[in-house]
Amino acid sequence: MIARHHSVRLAAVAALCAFAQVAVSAAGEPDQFEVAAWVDHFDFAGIKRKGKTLFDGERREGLAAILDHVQEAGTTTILWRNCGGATMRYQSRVESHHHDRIPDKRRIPDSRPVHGWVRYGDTEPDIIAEVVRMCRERGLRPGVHWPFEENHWGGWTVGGFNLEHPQYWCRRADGTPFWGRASISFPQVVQHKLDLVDELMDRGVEVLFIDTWRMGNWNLGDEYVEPMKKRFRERYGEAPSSDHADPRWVETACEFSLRFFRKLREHTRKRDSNFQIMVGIPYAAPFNDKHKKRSGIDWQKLVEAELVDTLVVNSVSWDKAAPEPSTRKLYGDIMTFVDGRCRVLFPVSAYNFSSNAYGLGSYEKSMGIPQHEAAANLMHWARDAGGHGVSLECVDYGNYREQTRKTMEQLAKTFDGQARQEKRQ
Amino acid sequence: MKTHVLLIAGTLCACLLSGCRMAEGGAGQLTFGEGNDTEAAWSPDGKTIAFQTDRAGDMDICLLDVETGAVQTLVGGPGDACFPAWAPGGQSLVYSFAHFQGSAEQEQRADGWNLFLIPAQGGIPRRLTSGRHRDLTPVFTPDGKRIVFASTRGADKRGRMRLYSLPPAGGEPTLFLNTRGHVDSTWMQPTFSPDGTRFAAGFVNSLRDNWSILTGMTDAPDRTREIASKRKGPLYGPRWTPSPCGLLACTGYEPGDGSWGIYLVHAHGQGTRKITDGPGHSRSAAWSPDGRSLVFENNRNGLYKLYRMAVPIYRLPSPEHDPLALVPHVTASCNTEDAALAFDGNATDNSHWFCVGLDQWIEATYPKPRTLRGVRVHSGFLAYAKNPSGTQSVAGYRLQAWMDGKWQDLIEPVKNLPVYTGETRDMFHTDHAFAPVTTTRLRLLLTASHDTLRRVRSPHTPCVPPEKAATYIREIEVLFDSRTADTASADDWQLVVSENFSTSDAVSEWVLDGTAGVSINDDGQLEINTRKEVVGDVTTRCSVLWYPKPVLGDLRFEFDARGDKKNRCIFFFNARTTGAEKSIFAWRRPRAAYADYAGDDRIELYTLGMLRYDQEEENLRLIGGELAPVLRDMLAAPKGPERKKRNQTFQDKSIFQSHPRATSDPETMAHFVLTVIGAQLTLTVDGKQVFDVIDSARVHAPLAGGHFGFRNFIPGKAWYDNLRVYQRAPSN
Repeated sequence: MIARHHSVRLAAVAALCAFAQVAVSAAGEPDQFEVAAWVDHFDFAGIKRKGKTLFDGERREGLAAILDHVQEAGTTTILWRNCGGATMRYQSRVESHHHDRIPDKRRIPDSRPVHGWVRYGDTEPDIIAEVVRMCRERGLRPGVHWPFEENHWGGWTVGGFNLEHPQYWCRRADGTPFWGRASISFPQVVQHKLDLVDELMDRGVEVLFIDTWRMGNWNLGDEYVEPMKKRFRERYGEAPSSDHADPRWVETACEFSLRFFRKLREHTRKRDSNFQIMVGIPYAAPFNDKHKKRSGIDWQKLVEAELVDTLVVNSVSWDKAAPEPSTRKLYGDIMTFVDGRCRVLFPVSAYNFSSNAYGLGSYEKSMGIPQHEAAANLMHWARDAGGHGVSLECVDYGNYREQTRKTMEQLAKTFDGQARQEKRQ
Repeated sequence: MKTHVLLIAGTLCACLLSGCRMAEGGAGQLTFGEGNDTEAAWSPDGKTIAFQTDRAGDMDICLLDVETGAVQTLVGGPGDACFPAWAPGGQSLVYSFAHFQGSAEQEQRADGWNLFLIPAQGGIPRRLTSGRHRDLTPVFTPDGKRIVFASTRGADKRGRMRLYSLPPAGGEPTLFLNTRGHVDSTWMQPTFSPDGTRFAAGFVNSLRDNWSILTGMTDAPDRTREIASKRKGPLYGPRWTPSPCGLLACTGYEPGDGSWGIYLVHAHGQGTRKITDGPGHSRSAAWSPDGRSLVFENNRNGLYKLYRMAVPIYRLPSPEHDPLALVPHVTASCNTEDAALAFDGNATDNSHWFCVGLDQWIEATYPKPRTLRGVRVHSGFLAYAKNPSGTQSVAGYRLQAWMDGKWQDLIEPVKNLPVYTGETRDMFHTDHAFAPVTTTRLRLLLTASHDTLRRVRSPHTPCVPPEKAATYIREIEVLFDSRTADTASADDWQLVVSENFSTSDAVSEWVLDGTAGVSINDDGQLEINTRKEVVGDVTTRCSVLWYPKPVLGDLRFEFDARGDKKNRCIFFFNARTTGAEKSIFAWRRPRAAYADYAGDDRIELYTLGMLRYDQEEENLRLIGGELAPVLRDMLAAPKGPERKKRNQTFQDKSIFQSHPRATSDPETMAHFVLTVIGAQLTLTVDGKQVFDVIDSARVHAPLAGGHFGFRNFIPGKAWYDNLRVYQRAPSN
């Protein structure tokens, strides 16, 4: 089975490599319909399948099995999770692993038992390097799904950098510091993140997907650190209030996040001008500042500043009473705003995280259709809107059904060559 | 060769340290060379320090000879051995061990981090626990009969850790303390008071929470209390001092610190103070057996190495409260330089100073005069003091109050106290009652001592070795006069509101938030019929019927209440504005929604749950004001996990007392008596005390009265009668 797939992939490799170069370099050329799969490593590590606990993410054969599975959905880009929170899944030199050689009492709690069993610092092979190599063999574009600020929702994954640098911790308005997160308003924290990016680039990663939704449940109420407060005073001549929804406070935060992305862009371009930056935004829609207020990230400014190669729409707040027209309308609005300044991937998400339903399950329910039809609809709507592809949120063995994967693969092939809105000259 | 150099260096350092008292705050390095040396534990005889080290690659456990600096490996070889802890007699150590060879063979592995016991002189380790759990941070109980540790056993996939215990001989671990609160809450690193009656542990309640310290009574571990303010920063890894003064050494960080450091905090929660400074992180402090020194790890030179410091003298702030039942309003005090001063009754100038290891008197100080009427001395044994000639055990004490500029005896001096032999753990208490006195300072002064215990005959052994003498006061409990309505004199209270709801216009001037049918029924009761109503774009299901005038000062509310099974009866009291508005009625709250109070910075008040028939427990909370943004933050989150997490944050910050529902009979009026004296709140229902708590956040600035009102929500009826409000001048 593996051998057969391998031979097919080898044939595809040359074509895709050449194709990819064309796609990213020449505006107006036909573009590949991208199917980017977020492969969240932890969803495979330690899961049970047919009564047996799997640790596919920790061994070469397992990695191949994961890629086999993901490719069944017609995947063109793999966005591999580099960390679970701050638990690096490769032999990082600058960030910690959950069970380092020195057990740290502060990190003893663990949201996923598997973290406690794996010593990623000692793993062979180096998981990221191995996945990159395997992706290249298969003609897949290797990328990393990087949860913004290495914090994952609800995870006990406070990294070593954060623990050892309490002076950079986020603060509440009342001064309460929190051990779980360092603020990117400190240059030292930004530098640490760039060091992490270097480690990924050293391993051949070609795409960095920064998922701004996965911020570990932090918000601007946790950003009352001195650089932010100082900048606020400079801008507005007074101290910030404790109301973190104050538009001025939000704008100040956006200034720092913009600064971070600009640094990131400059840094990666120095090393590799073809290195791609994807940014994932939830509830994306022009004039919808819900995420901006919460995160201090203004995706529209990022697009305007051309700091993003691909905008990944994590979700849109569509209307359950009118799934198709409302979704198409939002897609159209986004494309109108983007106006060719970057590529856009729309969601085919198997998840329904929030009470505002947005994933396949919600479309199935609202439209009375099976999952594979919902997925096909979303791909069609994405293409029709002028999108450059779709992204699959956290593919694992259990969420995208077999028929869905087959449908998506077939559709992706038929979409290839049908160019979408191209990058503006 | 490398080992030889290390030993020489270690010896020199240890020699410099021994035989002299170090300067305050000074720290001397104990271990040197390669690798990280961490998680130190001092042997009971003070001669050896066990620690974990990665000098040889994997984590090993080594023993440091404190006098010579020599280091020996106790547990070596493949695998990681961590968190050593000494048995009380020093004959053995317990530790955590795991051997992970890679990552891909896990499904075949039977064990995780498990506990082992090894003789202190070396030998074959004996396995105590097994299974794919993480059994970490073990510690012996002071009597040596149990080992308590943190473990993931029994945990769900969230991975939280709870405290378990098992006997040193081995056996199936049993739950010592369940994790409470948030699903991510976790306990870690237990530690015990010298007499074993109390414990503390690191605790973290959710992802967004800071580590903090909780203490509790060993025989009632569910009654725990958080003693550190998470608002300042995280605090973890407590170690209880071996001296009876109740200090904990912890690792912590507060804003302004350059790094993690060692903090001391009293078990009653007062006086958190950082005692390390300088470069690098300082962590994981462990006490010397005499309580005078601490050993900890610091990475100022890149690697974590062990350092030793003398415990400095420092000033403890006056404690305000301690909800632990046996912990009174007390701070310990002593003279640090001359033990004799403690016994002559004249050393009052230093009465606020506290020194670890020497305790000659115990003093309580209060921010404002309190009227006292008695003291209960728990265990009756006084702290022992060590002097160069041997161990002394105090034989008598005097109980004194600071009055008219001098210490005055409250009782006849106590003489000829029995000697605690170490052979018995019998505890008792002695009550001392006296005529009420008003003072800001109370102390228990040591006045006499036995001779060196070597000469003392005890009922248990003919000759007590001095090292077994452990006489001390466990706790003293101060009894305040007029502590509750039951103990207050009737003359203390003045009736300021009296309403029997006997006339139809009885509540005509009361102010209603929300919508409800308010009437006086045929039985002469106030009837509030709260229902869903839509007025314009406002929908309300709640109401608050406010008494129109504020009542100020210390108060006692008395009324009868009942509600039908659909209703939820809440009592709002001491409601006041926080800003420029002069009255809480300066703005309208047509919805009377909870957020209109709890989410409004302009108002703060107490809310007392009374008769919610859909739940077993009620809550007493302080809401609004400074806590309003916390509630708004919660409400701003979309429903789902994030909302739940923020709600937990709100709960953590706002709730300070839960209590069982007062009555389960909706047909019968219950008689409520709520007394608020300063920050102390007491509730009795039908003569039975429900709670008696102190609002720790408001000790300095209690909500001295305000508006009160009856709140009801969920369509249904509630009835009230016989309202009385008494006011008491806040003189005590």
